[in-house]
Amino acid sequence: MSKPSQNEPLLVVRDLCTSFPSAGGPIPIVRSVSLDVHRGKTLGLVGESGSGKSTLARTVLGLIPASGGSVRFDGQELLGLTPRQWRPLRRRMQMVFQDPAASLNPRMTVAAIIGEGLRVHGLCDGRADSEKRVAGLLERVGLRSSDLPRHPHEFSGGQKQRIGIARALAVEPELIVCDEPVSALDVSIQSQILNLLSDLQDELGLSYLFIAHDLAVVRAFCDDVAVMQRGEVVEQADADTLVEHPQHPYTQTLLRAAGGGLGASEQVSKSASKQVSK
Amino acid sequence: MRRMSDLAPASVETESAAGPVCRVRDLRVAIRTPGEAVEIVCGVSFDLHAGRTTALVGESGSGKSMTGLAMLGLLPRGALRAGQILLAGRDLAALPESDMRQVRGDRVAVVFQEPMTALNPVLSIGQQVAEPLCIHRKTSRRAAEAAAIEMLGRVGLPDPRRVAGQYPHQLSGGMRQRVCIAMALICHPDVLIADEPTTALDATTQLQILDLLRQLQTDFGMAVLLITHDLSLVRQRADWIEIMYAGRLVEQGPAGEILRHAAHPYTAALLEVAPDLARPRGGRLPVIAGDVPQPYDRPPGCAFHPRCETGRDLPQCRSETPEIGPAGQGHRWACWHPRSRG
Repeated sequence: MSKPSQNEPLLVVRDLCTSFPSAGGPIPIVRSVSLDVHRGKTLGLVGESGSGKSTLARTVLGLIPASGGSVRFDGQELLGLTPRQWRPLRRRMQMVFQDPAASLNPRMTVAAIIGEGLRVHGLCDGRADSEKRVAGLLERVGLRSSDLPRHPHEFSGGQKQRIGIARALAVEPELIVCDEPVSALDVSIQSQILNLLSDLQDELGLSYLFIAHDLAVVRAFCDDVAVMQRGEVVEQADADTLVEHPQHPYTQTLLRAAGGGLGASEQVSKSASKQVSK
Repeated sequence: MRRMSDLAPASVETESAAGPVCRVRDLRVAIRTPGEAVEIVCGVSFDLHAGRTTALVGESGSGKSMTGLAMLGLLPRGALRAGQILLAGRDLAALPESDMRQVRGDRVAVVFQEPMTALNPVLSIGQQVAEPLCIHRKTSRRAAEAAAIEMLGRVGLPDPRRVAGQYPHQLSGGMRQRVCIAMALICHPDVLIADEPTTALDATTQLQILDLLRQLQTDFGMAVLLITHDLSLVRQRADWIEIMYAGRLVEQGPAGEILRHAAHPYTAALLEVAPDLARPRGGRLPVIAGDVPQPYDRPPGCAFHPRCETGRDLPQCRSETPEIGPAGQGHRWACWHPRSRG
């Protein structure tokens, strides 16, 4: 295998296919998707429910087997790795989930939730070291070290998502897959979390694969955007170009929805289109 | 931005001349805790008019959903309620549960956030939509199912006869929410309470559902209370807006007026943080620092003062609670130092 060059994107996905088995034969969910996540940058992945965004992300992370194609992370091919070969890579690729309440174990303390990765990957030197590092992580994401012994139910939605981010950060990853990290939160809290993710990226040089269905959020946060529909990437561009000059009709539909335009509804689309486009 | 009046149904003036269909007065909800009762909703008053959408906007923990549940008599066990909910000359708050059951689903209906959990997975769509008619109107099953099929068509479901025979898991999220709306409207209620009806849906589906609600509100002449955390969502889709914070209404008025000339710093902040497609990448997003205070931990004075750019250090804001005044009197706010309204 050739040594990765610093110019190669951190994550290179080529012709990736994922299908789910069914009685009538396999159903393709991700159809020949190619995309790049550049080092220190954010790639947004947008599309409606069922378009295959989350399945794509989970395939990239090796949580779902691919049925074809290639996924290279820092020059290394991921498809076909054994669980043992995956283990050191898991530390380098982390995930932040949509529903912070469902993705935190209610019976574990914050210290245990965030410290688990440190322990599993042998990144800390005993309990005291673990606690010290977890306390530092908590403060880094805007919580207090006095929150360590508390349980998830004691926190608001935004605070739970901060805990989820601290858990991902604990093992010092290079790539974080964020699967709709703010769509379960109040709009007033969404921008707090997005600002936090953006600060962390600047400080730590993180790369994000950022899944969302709201193009307004994507534009504010992502460098590049890939639009998915029925398992395929139908348009890919830098965020500003995509919003200002959308090419694909489906991107245009998503944009109308994000703009709050009435055009998204069939009933009024014709009468409203003139007013919306002004 | 277009003005609300351009979009409002033409019937609004005549409808409102008849007075509000529902008046909520000094509604209070408290829950018992090991210590003492904690007030979640602290004296909320507003009017709902036929053919109009009133948006009740606030963050998680503001008490907006509790307000909706209190109006339906669906508060969690152990919760205490005070105040009046006046509908067609009756005070719903004073009704015994047996009478409230006849009102709920008939005169006052509800659409919840999560259409999957709101539907029964083992009953066909047709049976579920028909059920309120069988219960409230003693309609025969056959007639009720025919009405259900008609209603499924009116909420924009293609091939309603086929959908009526299907089960919730066979439908998409947007279709399920349309089913919930059909079920809520089958008895032609006076008031529809929609509690975050689109939060669980995709952006494109969200707007379709909101536009559908707006269409049906006009067709049926009902009052809609739209509960949401997203002020930008109600742009062009509400006639009247109530802003709620920490159990109290902090600003109320005609939607266009509030969106153009927000007086309360909290309303202005909510507008500021709304996702905006026109905002290019780079720079920090505007935020409202901090969280809504817990009901047992509300600060003295104006509950918003610790998060308020203006009032954070002003003695009056820190010690005296501003009142919003009587309902139904135009644009009002509860703030000692409202933003200058240019």
